[in-house]
Amino acid sequence: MDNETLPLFRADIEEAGYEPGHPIVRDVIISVKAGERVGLLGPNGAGKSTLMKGILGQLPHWKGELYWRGEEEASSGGFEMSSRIAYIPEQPILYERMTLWEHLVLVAAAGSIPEELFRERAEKLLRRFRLYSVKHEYPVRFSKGMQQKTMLIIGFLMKPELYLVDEPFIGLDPGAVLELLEALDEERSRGASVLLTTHVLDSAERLCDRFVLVHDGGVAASGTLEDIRIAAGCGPDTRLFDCFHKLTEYDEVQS
Amino acid sequence: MQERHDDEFRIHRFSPYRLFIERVSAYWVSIWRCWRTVLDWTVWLYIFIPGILIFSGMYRDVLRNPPEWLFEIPITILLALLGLLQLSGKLRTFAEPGDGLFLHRNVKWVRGMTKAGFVYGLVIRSVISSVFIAIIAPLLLHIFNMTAVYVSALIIYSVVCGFLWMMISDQVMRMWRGWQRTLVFLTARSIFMVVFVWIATIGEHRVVILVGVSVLVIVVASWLMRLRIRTKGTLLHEISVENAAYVASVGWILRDTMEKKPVPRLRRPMLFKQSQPLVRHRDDTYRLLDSWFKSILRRYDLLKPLLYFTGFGSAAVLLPPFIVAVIIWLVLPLLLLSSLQRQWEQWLSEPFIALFKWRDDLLEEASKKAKVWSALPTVTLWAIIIGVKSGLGYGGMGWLAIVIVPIAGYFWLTFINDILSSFSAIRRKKE
Repeated sequence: MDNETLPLFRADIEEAGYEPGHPIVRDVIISVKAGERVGLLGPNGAGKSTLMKGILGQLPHWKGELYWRGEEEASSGGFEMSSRIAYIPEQPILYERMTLWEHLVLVAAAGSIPEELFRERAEKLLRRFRLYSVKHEYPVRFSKGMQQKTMLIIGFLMKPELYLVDEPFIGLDPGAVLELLEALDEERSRGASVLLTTHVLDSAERLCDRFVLVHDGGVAASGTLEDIRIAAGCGPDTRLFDCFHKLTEYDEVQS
Repeated sequence: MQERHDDEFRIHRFSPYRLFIERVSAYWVSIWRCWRTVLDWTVWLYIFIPGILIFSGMYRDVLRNPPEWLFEIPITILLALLGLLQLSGKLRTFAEPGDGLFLHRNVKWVRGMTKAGFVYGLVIRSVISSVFIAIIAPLLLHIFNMTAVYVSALIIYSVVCGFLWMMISDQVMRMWRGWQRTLVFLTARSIFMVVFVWIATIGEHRVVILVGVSVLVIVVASWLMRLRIRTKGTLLHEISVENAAYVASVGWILRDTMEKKPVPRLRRPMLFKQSQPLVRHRDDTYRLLDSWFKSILRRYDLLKPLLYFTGFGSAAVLLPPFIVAVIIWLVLPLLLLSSLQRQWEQWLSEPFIALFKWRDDLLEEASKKAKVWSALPTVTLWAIIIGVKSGLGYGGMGWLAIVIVPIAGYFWLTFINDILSSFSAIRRKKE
């Protein structure tokens, strides 16, 4: 396989979970090509966030392999945030005694972003997400939506090759959702890829090229919207929402 | 006949007072369980019980043969201590976040829990004041020749003043935020202390004044209680009081394991308000160092060990003979650096910092600099003390040690730091 057809990232997960002998997800393969946007969908408790945590090496029990541009990750403990990958978690992770600006300085240190470039990027992002006026305040004192925006800024500041985004629309006001979608579009034109989990299927349909539908810890269906429609036995104009409902409902009845 | 079940729902079993008692017991049981993890039998056997016995023996000796200086102590010092004790009171309602769903929609229950909080506060104030006055009672009666009537009146006066302060502090906490709250508290505490000690001193000769003021305090406190009961929208304030009380009781034991650390009370930091760098960001190492030093200065739990080392270490090199002091001075930097190494590693494992992949070379360089720069002021102070001791002991050329020892101290510190850092780097690579 040449470099162009190789996925940027691939995770072959045999099993992953929080307790030994009780895997939450089993036999899941996720791959993301350069510039591609993949939506990881599924009902509550399907194992989406568990998959994300597994990829980031945050799970106590994990069996599988991770590949970056076809090369197996030697550490295999999971990916950490770096110039390759940015993780935007569902629950904001912040440091109690650092201002918003100081959080960004630390991101710049981790990503080795030169000072001038860092200031330019940081100020642009702060204005974009309307947090410029509070950049010297503690983000732990922000509202949930503002904290979510802080995590988005941290992710976009790194300009990575792959974004792992966990439920990005929760807590954001409509203006911020629009800014997020635009920012993701810009990143796509730069060649960055996105793997995101969400329940907001309308946005996922608009945003993603491909979908992986996780249900009961396994993959229920995957592929483009067309593939999902076929798997769900739906017509050509059916929305993702209806396909999702049909696939999960069907599975519910079977079980 | 209908069979009765123990788990049958009986409405009369539920009342705000019962709920309050359940929550108080659950709270104290959880505090006790937490403390039990550090207070095992060895701590009781070797530290607490001997400590209590030694203290009791010393206190008994002081009472039997009072030293002359004891008669010189002004009574205002003891009264000021009693006043300070009253400032610790907080109105507790044992509110929980879930109360917003049901309890805080029912006025009767909210008022019931608040009234129970008043009683709890009064009981705690009574216990604290009575125990303190009981401990110092022999001094008051036999050394300061006070009457039993005055001591009894003093207990009542302390309890009601403590209760009044509890109500005032609750009002201040709800009405003000940030620096304004700090300013109001500072002013209110100062006024309380001055008035408390002044009235208690006058009352020694005119007990009726002490009693009269106590009655007046009860009237004011009752008015504040009435206001408090009618106040709405206090749930968030009550939850934050409960969180602060829990952290104050067990925060020290759980400092490394508490998942959610206390959120700063201010929106902006007191130090480096404009996020200005403490060290110039020459490269990524200095950016990381900047975050570390600001964390130390803004987090008392990180600064405290350093202050303790500085205080106790200074005493350890100041008090013994010169040769022993030099040996201690050589060993102390090792202990200080080990403590800083542990703090550094804990800081790196903070969830936000651990989110990122840090280069090994960056971590190694930052770790070395962070420890040396944090330890240098303390080690230099110890070196100056050694230098002064040398000058006082040997005179003449001995005074040169004030310059030479701090320089030698710097090299000794970096030498030990290099060794410690290489060990920790090897350990990290193995992990």
